[in-house]
Amino acid sequence: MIEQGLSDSQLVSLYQNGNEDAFEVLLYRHKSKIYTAIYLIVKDRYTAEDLLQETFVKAINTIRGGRYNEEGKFLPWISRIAHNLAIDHFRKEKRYPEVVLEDGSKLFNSMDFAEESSEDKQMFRETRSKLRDYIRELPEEQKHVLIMRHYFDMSFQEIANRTGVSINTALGRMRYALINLRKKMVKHRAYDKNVYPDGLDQVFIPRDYGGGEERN
Amino acid sequence: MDLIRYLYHEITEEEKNEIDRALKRDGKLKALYNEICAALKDLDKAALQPSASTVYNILNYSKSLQPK
Repeated sequence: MIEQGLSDSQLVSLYQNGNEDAFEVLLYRHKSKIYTAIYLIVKDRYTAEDLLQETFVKAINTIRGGRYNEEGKFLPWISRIAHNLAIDHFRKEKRYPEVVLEDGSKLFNSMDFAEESSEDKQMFRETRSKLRDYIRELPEEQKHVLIMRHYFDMSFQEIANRTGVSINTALGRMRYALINLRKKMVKHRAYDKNVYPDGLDQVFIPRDYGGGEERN
Repeated sequence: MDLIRYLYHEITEEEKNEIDRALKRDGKLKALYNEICAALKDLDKAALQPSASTVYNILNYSKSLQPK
């Protein structure tokens, strides 16, 4: 039995010594963030499932093969693998063809994935789905910084290195991504009286902190 | 003064204390902080879970490499 409070580093060490339970804890701890980040890049849940699997297979091979080097942390390390795979896929495919059903809905929106099993309120599902749409609608640079920082857990310095910009630019993009997202969510909620019966909670972003005009 | 680095714990102790103090005295900064916190909470809500079969496949692959 593995203690849930163990650090990633401790879990990797146990796994290197053949403890499968340790790997299971690592997988359960990080699968959601990595999967979400891949999905937001490739925009298709089946592809995201495949790439998640490929990411972990590469990680398993590296750790099992004795090539894992504990210089950084586990999550940023495996996130780099996932990010590279997702970006490679995105570049190859550019856009995955969308299958539209007779009623006009898109195929992947109608599928029953694991997420739906524990959530019983459709309105919350719709709100979350809307949120993912808004993330995907963000300007590319903002969206990528947001995915890399929030879901892949990369530091701003690493993001700056990987995207070839200064750390201040990466921070600025993240800030505008969050502000834009917040504005869109509040606007969406204002129309969703069932979920937010109290009405609109106004976003107050001071103008000198990026409020006012929407910046791309 | 960077709230983003503050919220992601990428600052020194000294910078943290400085922002803590600023949040107490600067209403505009506090308002921005609240909005960014709300956006971050939304991001967590947007997270998806992979299917059980994908998780099962990964675990199975790992077990298949276990020395007999």
